[in-house]
Amino acid sequence: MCGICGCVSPYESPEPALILKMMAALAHRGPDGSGYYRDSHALLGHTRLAIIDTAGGVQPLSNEDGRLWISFNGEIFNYVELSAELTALGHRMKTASDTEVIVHAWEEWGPACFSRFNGQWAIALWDSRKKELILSRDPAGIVPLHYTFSGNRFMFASEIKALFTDPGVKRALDPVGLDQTFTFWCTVAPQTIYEGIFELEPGFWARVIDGKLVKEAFWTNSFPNADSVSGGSLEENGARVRQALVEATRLRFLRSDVPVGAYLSGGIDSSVTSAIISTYTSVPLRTFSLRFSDAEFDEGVFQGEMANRLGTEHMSLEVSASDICNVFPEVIWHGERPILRSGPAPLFLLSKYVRQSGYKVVVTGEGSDEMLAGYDIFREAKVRLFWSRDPSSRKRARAAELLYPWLARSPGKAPAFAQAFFSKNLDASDPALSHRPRWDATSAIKSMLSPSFTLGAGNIPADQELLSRLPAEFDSWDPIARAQWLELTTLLPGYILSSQGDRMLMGNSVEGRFPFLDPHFMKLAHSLPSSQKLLALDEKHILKREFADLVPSSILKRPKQPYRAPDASSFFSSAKRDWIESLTSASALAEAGVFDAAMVSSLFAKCARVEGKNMSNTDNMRVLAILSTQLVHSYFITGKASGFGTGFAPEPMAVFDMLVNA
Amino acid sequence: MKKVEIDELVNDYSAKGLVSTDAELVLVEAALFVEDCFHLRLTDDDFTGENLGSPEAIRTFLYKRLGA
Repeated sequence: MCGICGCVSPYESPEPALILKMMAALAHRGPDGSGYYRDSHALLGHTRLAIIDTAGGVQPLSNEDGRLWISFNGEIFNYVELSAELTALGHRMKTASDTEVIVHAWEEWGPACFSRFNGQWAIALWDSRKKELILSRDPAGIVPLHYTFSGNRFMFASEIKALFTDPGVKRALDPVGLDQTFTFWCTVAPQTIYEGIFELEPGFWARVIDGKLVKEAFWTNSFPNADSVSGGSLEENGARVRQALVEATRLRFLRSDVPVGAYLSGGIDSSVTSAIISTYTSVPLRTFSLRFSDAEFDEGVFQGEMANRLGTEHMSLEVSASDICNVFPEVIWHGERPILRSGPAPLFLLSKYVRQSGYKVVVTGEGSDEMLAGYDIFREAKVRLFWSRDPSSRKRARAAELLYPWLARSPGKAPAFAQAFFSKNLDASDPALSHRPRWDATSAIKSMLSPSFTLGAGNIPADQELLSRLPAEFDSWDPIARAQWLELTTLLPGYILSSQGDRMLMGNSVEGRFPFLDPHFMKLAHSLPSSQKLLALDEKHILKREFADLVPSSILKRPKQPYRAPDASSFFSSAKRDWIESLTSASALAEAGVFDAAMVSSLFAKCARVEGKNMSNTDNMRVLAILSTQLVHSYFITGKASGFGTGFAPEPMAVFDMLVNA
Repeated sequence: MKKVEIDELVNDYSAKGLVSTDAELVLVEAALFVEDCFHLRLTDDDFTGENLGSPEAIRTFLYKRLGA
């Protein structure tokens, strides 16, 4: 992975000083070097994390005649096969990099090339003859790509902080983006939390010409019609799942010129991917795990069991609540958006540990829960659907007690509360039946907003706006597939792969690779009957069934436990930090104008009394929302707080200045 | 649906382990499984041990309801 940035203008010749500042803002994404291309209408910048063709893959890079220039962030894992195909068609490769394959693939196939790529990417391709910029982003949204218009310029970058290096780019919070965040946990592309700044949607490519942007999808998440699922037995489909996942994992482990490690969380997904690497490759494996000082969150027993079974060279990092508090400002600087959970912070510390251990690539298990219906939200959906068939049934109501068996305060231990909670909006015709409890619970944050702050666009709430643009075939899918689409559109790209994924990895110059988000695997997973993914309430059933020979039953049969970290208690269990007091002072809150100072003061006093422990889910989210929003405002709107960058574009720097050389 | 297909799903369902040991919840979970995987609609009166109380009971119930 790397950092990419640039700007194009039909009317002006951008100055190199701008691209130097943009590259400096992305130095953490590519500390191994930088480079830029400049002509009379374009600047393309690149900061490099060298992984494939470490000696020859300098960017920006051009085609044979110097007409096409590319700045690329990511990996095209099938570049070897594509290179052979393109060479057979007459293309000549100068390097052994995947980057060059993209240029030739575009020449050969145009936008159809994106459907041929198996990988994770953000691409900027400049056609200097047509004066046309092409952008593209991978199907799942693993790699970020933001853009804005600043005067006559169209600007793009991996991270928003690079766009803000142009003083002409407006710095203001967008009420629509915040409304989405305080409903879905994240924004939904192309929306961001910043006015006038957008992100290219996953699975889209765009053309920028004469200052105008035109976008088109090359990938959509689509599911079979509920009445015509072709089926296939569990055994047949299980074999297909295994074959596809083994291939996806091998490709992501072996296609690298630097050592690749693996995350091992103690759950099924990373156990499966690590087991595949150990079983189907001959390369020794280094695994990395996160442990927590607080036993409630720690999964060390399962991590150790799996590492021992595989014989990996295992390393773990223990994180405390205090560590989370200390690193939180840096986490928000990298993430650039509010977060409602502290979960990204430990992962930021883990990637730092990985990097310090000499690794810059890790294979991880993210994406499995979305592809194979692993999250509790899918179990909730199934229970609510079951109940909605006869809302008056006392027996069906009891199904709510089957949810969250791992929670200390599980629904089974408080059935009346569980039934009251999960019976809200129990409308089988609601397209968001699955997500309504989460969205409603999250929206409680909005009661803390300042009376003068108005969320949303006009009077259209975030959920209504999202549901107004569902795919035409949405209603024909079964309820679990519908829930998957909502999850793939909101939380996966907006939070899991960004706030908790790319930003936490690349903040320490570490690339994540995601076998479960291989496009072939995604297509296969989407085609499976939902009941094979979530058999009754057994999540990821087909995965557990198919990999029972590689993963111990203690891990296969343990109740699904989502990754969690201490939230409010991280900030109140020890001496209060200066930055918290300063950011949540009445004057700081008034300046940001988002949250009501009196309500924040009352909430934080309550937290202080109990050291942030045993707070409700809503209050935990409120604390995180307030702290992270105030940090975002301080770093990116007022610019009062200084960030964590080096301030310099990484060396060595390659310069391709067509104006100087002309 | 063929008996062999029913058997495959019931075997997987029973092998995965139950979420609860509460007798009525065991039946509720089984009813959810039956409705979900076999597209049947049960009434509360169907939630009995005779129909749903064991893998054998579920299998017999499904053979009958699906005409397998």
